[in-house]
Amino acid sequence: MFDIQKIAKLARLNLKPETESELSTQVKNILGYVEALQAVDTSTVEGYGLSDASPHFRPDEPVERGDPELRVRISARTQGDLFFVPKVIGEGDA
Amino acid sequence: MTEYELVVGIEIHAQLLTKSKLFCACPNRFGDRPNANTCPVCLAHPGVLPVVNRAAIEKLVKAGLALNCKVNEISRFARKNYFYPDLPKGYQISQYEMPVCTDGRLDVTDSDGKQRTIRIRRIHIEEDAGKLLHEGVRSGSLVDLNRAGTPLMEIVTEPDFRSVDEVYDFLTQLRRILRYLKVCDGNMEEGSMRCEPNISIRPRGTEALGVKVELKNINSFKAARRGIEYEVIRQTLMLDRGEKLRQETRGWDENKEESFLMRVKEDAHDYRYFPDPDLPPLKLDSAWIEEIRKTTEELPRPRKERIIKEYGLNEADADVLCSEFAIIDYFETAARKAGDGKLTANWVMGEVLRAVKAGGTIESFPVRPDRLAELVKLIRTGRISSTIAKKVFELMLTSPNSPEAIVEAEGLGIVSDEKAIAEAVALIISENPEQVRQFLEGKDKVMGFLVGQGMKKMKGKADPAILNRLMKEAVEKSRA
Ligand SMILES: [Zn+2]
Repeated sequence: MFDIQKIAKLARLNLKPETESELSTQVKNILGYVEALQAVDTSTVEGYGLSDASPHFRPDEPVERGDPELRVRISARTQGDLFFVPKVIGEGDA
Repeated sequence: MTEYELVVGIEIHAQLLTKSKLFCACPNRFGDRPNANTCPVCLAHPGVLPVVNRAAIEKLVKAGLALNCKVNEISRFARKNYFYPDLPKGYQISQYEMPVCTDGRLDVTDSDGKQRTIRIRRIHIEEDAGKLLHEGVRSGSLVDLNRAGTPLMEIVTEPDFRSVDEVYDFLTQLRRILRYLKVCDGNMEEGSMRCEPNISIRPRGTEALGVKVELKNINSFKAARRGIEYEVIRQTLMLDRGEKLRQETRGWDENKEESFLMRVKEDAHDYRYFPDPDLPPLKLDSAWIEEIRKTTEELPRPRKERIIKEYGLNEADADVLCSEFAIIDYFETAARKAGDGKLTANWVMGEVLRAVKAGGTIESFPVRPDRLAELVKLIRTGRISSTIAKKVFELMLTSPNSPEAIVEAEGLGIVSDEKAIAEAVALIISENPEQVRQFLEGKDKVMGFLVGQGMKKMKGKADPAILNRLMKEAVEKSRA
């Protein structure tokens, strides 16, 4: 089983109590579908991508990207060449 | 009172020295204008796909082989999910169940000289996050994503360390190995190598592991030592007082020299790892792994043993020279050209390292190994004395000319002209009648003084053998 409030917290969603049971049912249905898929016998099927003969690598050749302004300005808020984000406290770090 | 034993395992993050990022071609370079090294892939725009940088995998495999790991022919990328503004995708591409390297080991020595094996559980590849800046902003943070997507390797050891000295030796050796292999520059102060120890204590003689504390913000070798020592004391005091330890993450405060609580286990992140559907399993064929093994640079330990044999050096000298791959590279290039290992070693450990210490690095040192070799040759062939050689070396620091040309231009070559030396000897004898008398009365030591005065008169350039002979002859003659 799962805790819908915990999932909402991890997804940074503010879940209203009145939508809790409806969403729980929907998530349960999705998980049920995955469970149905898992019931299929795949013992004779090779794993995904494992039969692909050659790995796809990129050579270590850097490409200069030029002026960051073009990429930064699409953000909702910026300061100079930097993205601006609202304050985040006490979360994060890997 | 119970006697406790320290149990430590460590996680090390090391930035890989590639030219481009792990999954896109943006330059992997620091100090640039913010967000200059970004593209739709590392900014996580919709519809982009990651493509693995071959060099990053090669460096990881190289490190894995050097640390005696098993290199898995199939490994898998996984998504580590968490929300933070330095992570544009909302997940970090890492590895979870199937890392590239497993089951390695490295032998460490503690302060008593005892050797023990530290097992390495795994080494995996992952991408780094960006950087948040808070200076000058009150209502939010500024984000620079130049570092986002650059390649990192994470090395995880088993909890096999039993003393702080072992941890210190491990980190020292690891840093040296990574630098020798040019996999990582190993700079803890600048964060290119970061270390997180898991620290617990248990009553000596017991098997069960104690409650562990993960220590973060360690940014020097010294901090690693102090941090672990601090935790041992803190945990011991708590247990002695009958208090219960909690599994928690603590930060190290370098200024206060104490650890502080960051979060307890209940608040631990739930990363919901799962295989990344954007990336197929990472397949490394055995031929490539073999090729990497064959082309891997000589490691610190075997290299030290070799240079002791090849150049007739002692252990202590070899230790100094092998402490950095740049120093040993410099030494070997110079020694081969000069044809004298011992003399070259003395020069590298003396004048060269002293001058480097005064400012700069050996890589940018103005006297390149071939010029040092020429200088050593001049000493070896008796063209200049070692005293004069130091003068020539000083001049080489600011002149691009060869030592030969400097000796020529400054008139510093050894004088073996007997007439010129005899003149100086005659002067010294007439200026020092008292010392000459003392020598003739049997005070042999005075000869050293007289020869020294003669050398001074010749500005250090007299052939010492000739000067010695002529001085003795002249003094003896004055007896009559
Ligand atoms: Zn990029």
